[in-house]
Amino acid sequence: MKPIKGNAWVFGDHVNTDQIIPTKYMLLTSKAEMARHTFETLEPDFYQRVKPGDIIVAGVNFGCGSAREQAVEVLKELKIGAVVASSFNMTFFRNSINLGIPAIVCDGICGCIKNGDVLSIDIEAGVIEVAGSASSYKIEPFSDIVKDIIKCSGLVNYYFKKRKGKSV
Amino acid sequence: MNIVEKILRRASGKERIKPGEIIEVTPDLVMSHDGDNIYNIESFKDLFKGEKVWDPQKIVMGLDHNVPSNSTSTARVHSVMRKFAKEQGIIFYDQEGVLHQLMIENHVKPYQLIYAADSHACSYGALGALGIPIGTTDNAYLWATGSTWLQVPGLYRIALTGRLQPGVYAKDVALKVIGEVKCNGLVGKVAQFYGEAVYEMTLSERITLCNMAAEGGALSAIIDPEKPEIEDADLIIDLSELEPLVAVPHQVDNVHSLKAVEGTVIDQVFIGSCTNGRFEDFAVAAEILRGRRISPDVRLYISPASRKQLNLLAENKILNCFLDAGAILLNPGCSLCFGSCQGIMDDGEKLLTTGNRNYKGRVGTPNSYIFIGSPATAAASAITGKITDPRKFFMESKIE
Repeated sequence: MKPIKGNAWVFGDHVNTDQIIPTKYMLLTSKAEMARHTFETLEPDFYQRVKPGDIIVAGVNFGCGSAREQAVEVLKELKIGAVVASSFNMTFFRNSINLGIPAIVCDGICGCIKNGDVLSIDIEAGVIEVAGSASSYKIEPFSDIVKDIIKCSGLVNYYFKKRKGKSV
Repeated sequence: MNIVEKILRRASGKERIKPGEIIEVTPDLVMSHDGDNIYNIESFKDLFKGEKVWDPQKIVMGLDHNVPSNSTSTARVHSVMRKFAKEQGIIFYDQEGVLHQLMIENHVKPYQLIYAADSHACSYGALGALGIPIGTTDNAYLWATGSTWLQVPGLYRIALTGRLQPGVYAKDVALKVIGEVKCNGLVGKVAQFYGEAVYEMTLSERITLCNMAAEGGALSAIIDPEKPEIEDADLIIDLSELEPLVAVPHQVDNVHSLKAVEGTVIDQVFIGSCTNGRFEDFAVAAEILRGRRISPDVRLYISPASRKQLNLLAENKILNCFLDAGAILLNPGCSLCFGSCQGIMDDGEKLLTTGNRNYKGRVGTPNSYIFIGSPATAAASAITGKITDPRKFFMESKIE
């Protein structure tokens, strides 16, 4: 797997799925329209400033609250490269992996970087590096099946590969 | 073998189950609702290229989050869902109530494994079933294949001892738990409730207890129907020591004694939801409301969690009690708890809810406020227009 490189957006602890995508936008039939409201109660101009490949970095319990996969869909729509957190809500974690956005557990990075820092995430090596800094941060290893789904960029590709009997 | 292992053994066909192990499971039921179903259907048809779902009689779908349809977007979601359910022969509930309540009334059995596209799947633990939340893609995958992978969760054992005092209810116990474990204290675990105090609870109380485990980040919650005694507890709560509690804005684990916020002026009160929308909940509230009127400055919204619960209220003359007090009756559904289309608040307004979440902006503008309490606390507060200890009304009744 190639390293994932991008600019960081740093959030705090316990960011809930209502904050990622508020309820009132959940049933918009256009994902593009929904994505305009991503994080709007936390960073009002997030949509205007976010760039493809950006990386979300957060503290503990990222994605807590409801099971709404729209919270990941909007990140996918915005072409977020990865989500890094000290810990995740398990349903959010699974949704993120399923949609092909690596959800990476990395304790300690959140307090040490700022918005705009350039990160390089090497899943195989198990480490995140910060451009312009000597620091590197260890990633918690994935279980085999999660790694396989990530390698397939999500559950749908994983499903088809398995059906064809192909190795991942 | 603990109950979670028993359930997963049955669901996987594996003789031995180890915590942390990845296994493949076949659930008994898969549930989803209009909160995200349009995407589940799109995902199944367009991405997984699905034609026929795995087993339509094991799939339950329904409308409860935005009912009646409040916009053309929602109307589109509903018509897509109706059409899909009919084509596939899926069990479908068209605005009959909150899907978790309908699942418990009509489908859930002990020792089942149930996946639901909703975080309060843990409610099924009240009947000794394991309910696990999933999102759209996992849901579509289950529809296509009938099985999925699961990392065997560990248990977080919560022992309840003692006896609830008058004015203190299962909701207060649930709030106490979340206040103790915090909103990520149960992540990846199944909260198992045990002890005489649990085994003596009614089904409705058990649902409230299990339901709120989601707010601690629990994967699920369960009460073992065999009522085991377990020696090692991660948390022990003496019910005799509890008072009415309130979760204060804007996090569910921001739990305080009601005394700490007593007197806070409120604008809206909601009694309903999968947490506290059953006959028993309304009966408790009705005892306080009977013969009284709510404050002229408060809107009291009630939404029984299903048609069955609404019928029970009507048959037992509990419904009259609310209407005479000035309550506004809403149709069964997720209603103000979900905050999509009913009772939305303006800046500065405050809601006391019997629901399960008080996130900032959930039921209105980001400058509105949600407090979580028991149905008794809700009723007492609707009368005075301020957050009020329900026990004040018990004293008054005694004096009369």
